[in-house]
Amino acid sequence: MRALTSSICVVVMTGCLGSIFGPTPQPPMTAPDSGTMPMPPECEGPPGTPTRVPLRRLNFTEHDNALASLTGTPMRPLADAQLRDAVQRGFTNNGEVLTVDPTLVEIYAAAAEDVARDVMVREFDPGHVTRFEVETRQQDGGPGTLQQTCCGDDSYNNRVQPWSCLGATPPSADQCFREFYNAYRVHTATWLDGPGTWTVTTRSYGLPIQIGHPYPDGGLVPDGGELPDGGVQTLMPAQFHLSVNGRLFAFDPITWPQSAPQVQTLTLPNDVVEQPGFYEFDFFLDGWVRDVPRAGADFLEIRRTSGVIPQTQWRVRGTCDISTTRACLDDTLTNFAHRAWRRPVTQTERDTLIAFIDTALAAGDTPLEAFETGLTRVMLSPWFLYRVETASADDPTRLSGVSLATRLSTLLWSSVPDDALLARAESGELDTDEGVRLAASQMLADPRAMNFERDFGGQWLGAPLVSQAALSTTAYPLFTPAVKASMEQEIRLSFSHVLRTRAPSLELVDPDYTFVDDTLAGHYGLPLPGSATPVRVALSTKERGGVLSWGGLLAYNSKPVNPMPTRRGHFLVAQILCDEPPPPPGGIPPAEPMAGLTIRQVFEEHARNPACAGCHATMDPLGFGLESYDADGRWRTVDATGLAIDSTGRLPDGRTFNGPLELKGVLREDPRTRSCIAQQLYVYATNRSFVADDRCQLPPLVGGTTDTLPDLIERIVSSKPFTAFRAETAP
Amino acid sequence: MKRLSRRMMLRGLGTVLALPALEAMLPSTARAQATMPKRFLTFFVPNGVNLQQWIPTGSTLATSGLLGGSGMAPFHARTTFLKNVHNLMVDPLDEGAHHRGTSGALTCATPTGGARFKLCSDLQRPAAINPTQQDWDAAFEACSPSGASIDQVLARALPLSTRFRSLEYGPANNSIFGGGSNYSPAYCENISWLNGTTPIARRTNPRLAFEALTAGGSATETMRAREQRLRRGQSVIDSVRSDALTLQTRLGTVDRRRLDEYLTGIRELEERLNAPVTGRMCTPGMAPAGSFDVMTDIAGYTRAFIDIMVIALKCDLSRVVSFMLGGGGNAGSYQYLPILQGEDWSLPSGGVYPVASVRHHDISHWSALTEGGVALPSPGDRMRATEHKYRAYSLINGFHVSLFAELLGKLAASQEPDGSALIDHCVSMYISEISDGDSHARTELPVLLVGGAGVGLTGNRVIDVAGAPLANIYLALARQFGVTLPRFGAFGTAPHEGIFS
Repeated sequence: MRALTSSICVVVMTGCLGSIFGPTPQPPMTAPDSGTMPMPPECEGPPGTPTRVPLRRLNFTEHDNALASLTGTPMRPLADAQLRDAVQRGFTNNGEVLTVDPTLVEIYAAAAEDVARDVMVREFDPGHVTRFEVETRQQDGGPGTLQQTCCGDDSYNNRVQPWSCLGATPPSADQCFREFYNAYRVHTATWLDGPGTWTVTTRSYGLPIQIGHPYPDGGLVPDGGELPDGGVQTLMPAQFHLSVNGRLFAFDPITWPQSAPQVQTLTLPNDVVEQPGFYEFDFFLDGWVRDVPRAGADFLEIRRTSGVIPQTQWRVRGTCDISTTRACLDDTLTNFAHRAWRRPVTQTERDTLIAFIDTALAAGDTPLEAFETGLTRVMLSPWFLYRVETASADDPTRLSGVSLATRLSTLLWSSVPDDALLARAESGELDTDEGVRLAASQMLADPRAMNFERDFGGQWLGAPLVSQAALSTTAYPLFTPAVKASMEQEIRLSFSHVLRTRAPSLELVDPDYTFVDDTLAGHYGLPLPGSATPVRVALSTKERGGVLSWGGLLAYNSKPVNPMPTRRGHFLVAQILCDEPPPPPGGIPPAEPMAGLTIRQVFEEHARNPACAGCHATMDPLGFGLESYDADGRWRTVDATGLAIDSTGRLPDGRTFNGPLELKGVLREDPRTRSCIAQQLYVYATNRSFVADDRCQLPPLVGGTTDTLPDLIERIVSSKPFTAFRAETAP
Repeated sequence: MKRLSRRMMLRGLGTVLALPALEAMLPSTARAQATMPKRFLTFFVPNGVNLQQWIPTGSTLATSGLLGGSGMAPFHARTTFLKNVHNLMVDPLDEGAHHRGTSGALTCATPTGGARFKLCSDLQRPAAINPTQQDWDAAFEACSPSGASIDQVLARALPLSTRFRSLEYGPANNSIFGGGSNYSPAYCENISWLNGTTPIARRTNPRLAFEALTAGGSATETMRAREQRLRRGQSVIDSVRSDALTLQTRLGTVDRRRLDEYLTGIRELEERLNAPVTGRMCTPGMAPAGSFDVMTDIAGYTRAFIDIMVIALKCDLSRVVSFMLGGGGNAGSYQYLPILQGEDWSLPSGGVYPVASVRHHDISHWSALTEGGVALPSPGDRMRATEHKYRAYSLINGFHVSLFAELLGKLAASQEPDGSALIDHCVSMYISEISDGDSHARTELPVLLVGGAGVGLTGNRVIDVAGAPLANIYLALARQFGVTLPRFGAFGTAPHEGIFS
């Protein structure tokens, strides 16, 4: 969906010539209900082997989904790294641009390590108890001999006052003191595996201590006593504090006198640990104390008390014990590799994995450590990262069942096959076209098909673009962020509806319903459905509904202060008719509003120039038909300056229409629309650009006027372009 | 979620140490200035510059509207202004200027359109006198994907003595071409290319970028922990490499090249893992904090990366660094930018045109006067619109330059171990994909080189290179780093003389 620059004049370019030198040849109209599309004249004989897609990596969405599917991790490491999939020919799954570079390998390695760690904590350490011993600081004898043995991190030293000495020179030990801030401290980071109830327990002991201002010569001024500066001492009971990622919590004050060690437990609020990751724990005794108090804590324990994942949800851990049984360790890792690599693991590969564990164990790693490293290794392997395709053992021109399983799962779930699909593939169920068709139909019924709606439907119909619509808030005060969000939903839900209810796919162009909430209904001037979330509403007139009338696209394809017919037309030409003109040349100045002329008249004026006519003739008429919609998507009959709107148009092939309602009918009848819907899905399914010989592969796949998306998907996935294997060296 | 540096096996050994005391202990005459390493930094800004404001009217930088002020004045003495730099490609079809300019800014190669995705620097002009699109298609098909960018050429030609061969930063793409076009959006999104088909992924998140610099082991790591980490990391690397080598034997040429990219990445992972703790003793400072929403706070976002780049260079973690302030054809709206507040205009015929809601790319086409031979029904409107867009465009240009100047200020304030200023050991290049946003031309590209004697730049110069190809300037730059290239890009045949001493 290229956002066209607001080009007014486009020089003659190949691809648009037909419009200047006569009508562009159109495929002959077919009978409305006929599913047959004519073959282009250049396609003689049976179609050849379809073009191959180069070895491609999983895209970022698929990669994150695959990690979640394999391990159940709630992490999305690639999204977290703010990586964005590159778009090529409209989609983010095009193998031509799915390359790997050194920075990406670094990110892959980090992701593999993090997810392996996460698996170990969630499945192999169900209680998830992390215990830190808190060492007692040694008392010291005087200046320069203080032992700093406490607690690892030495950052607390930053808050130690210099030695102060009183009286005799040289001072004796009992005349010198230092003051400590946070005298006891554990400062550490630990991995927590995600939401649940987390508690932190500590045990404090020793003599009672109080925090307050000391005498200069030692000992605390008693409560209420006069301070050297004339103030009054207020002693506070000592109290341990805990900061988790900067959020401060307090344990109960240490009561005085305290005769026995006191165990205290803090329960962290649920919003502290919302996702897996390293959390910073800072445990300390707050306040200034004189010298080193004879009290402290001896451990800190972090424990999960709810939200532990039950055995039924383990994805990686089997029923045997990898810590005690070597065969279990080998089998569990091999089984993970089988799932992650989406194909059976060969004996040689199994031996390699076993040797990997041997080496780790021999070097002193525990079985759990060796397994964790093994998981990382499996997830950093090219077999996981890339989509490696192989030929079927029986038919060298057909993809193997496991390769088709991955093709299907990346297409319909934006993920890797689950265990059931992989098992079906390995049992030969995907070795026939019928088997593939059946699998696809069942996968579409799975909740994971919402990834297909989001990734294919969204990208094809421009849903992600809506949030980028930038209109002037002065000119369009009603175009609020809430309206924009509802407009995006309108597109997504419309696609979802057509897919899920097996409605004719042409309903995307010309439906008698749309999806609005009260906000958007109010914006469009429709009766309010009485719902804060979008619901399907029947339309009495077709001023709304469908790709021509979705407010989000109308707004995205507008300038801040006025609609852009060329851009609106271009979107339809590219996405609905698959007849995209080449990009405009450089040096094109943008349009500005002109007094006394509607935007349409401005464009018509420019299109009189024969040099500009070529491409504009394919786009502008469609855009003119949408002139009945303002930049914010609302229906209008006059423009902002009061000039009457003219939304009639004449297509290059001579067909005419009056306004968007008739234009919907024209596009619905145009066989290019059906062909284009098939082509968009074909491009998405094959993971590559549409090239010359695809023009001969596509026509048999195009459906009739009542064709549905699920039927189209099933035809495509059981066709040669989807199922054929073509070795790179093959003729 | 706040996360800490993870000390795990594959992230290599941290070399950023907070030991300012040791830094100070180095005698200032410890090493001669000439031994300080040379660095190359690219600061890329999208959508060109207002050439009338950019080009000095006289022989000094002070006579440039954009460079005379904007905080650049303190750096004039180190700045070389290159005038009349051309970056034309072979293909005569003048379309997709932002795609060609961006992907060509550091590669000087030609991007291919349609279903092809590769940069070509060995494209042969078709033999036909008037080549048709089909002739060009055939020529594109025949070219090999050759188009490594100059930063990557340097990063890989220089001996690895830093933790990262190169670092690439900048926001995720916000180009008007983000949705797709005849040219892949990847051409608008990337200036750094490993080769003609592989752009380098940018690090877009300041927090993670900082984490990557400081991650890994530390100087306080115990020997046992270190050995364990290295052993595990190496075993993973050896093991996945053997997977890849086995797989490679089954692949054809194209797929093999794909897998080579992976193997390169694994090799560099290994290099980082085994890099000794011999980096600079220096203070990385605090991790960047904030939300870094590039849409609402491009200045804060850029400043976070300015700090990160200075850390990377100062601590000698990398010697080749780049920052893209936005993809070519940047559609970012600068509506939150203070300098644009109050710049709305109204047309004589009525209606308010709020400049702040206009995208950067739209503003960059500032001329509202010259439109395809059509009579202007309201010259007053045209004039007013042009006047205001021209002004807004210049303000944005000035904003970009001021950020570059902030970067230079921090480089100037950073000391090398020998006491000299870091800025003098770094070629800091300011460049855009096109010259003036209104003309889309790739002649008269805006190019500044800032640095000092350490990199052979004398500064305070305006050099007219008289239409020399940018590729020849890169050949001279590479030679400055001790890297001799026979040719570069489509037109780079000989180093351009007279820039570096």
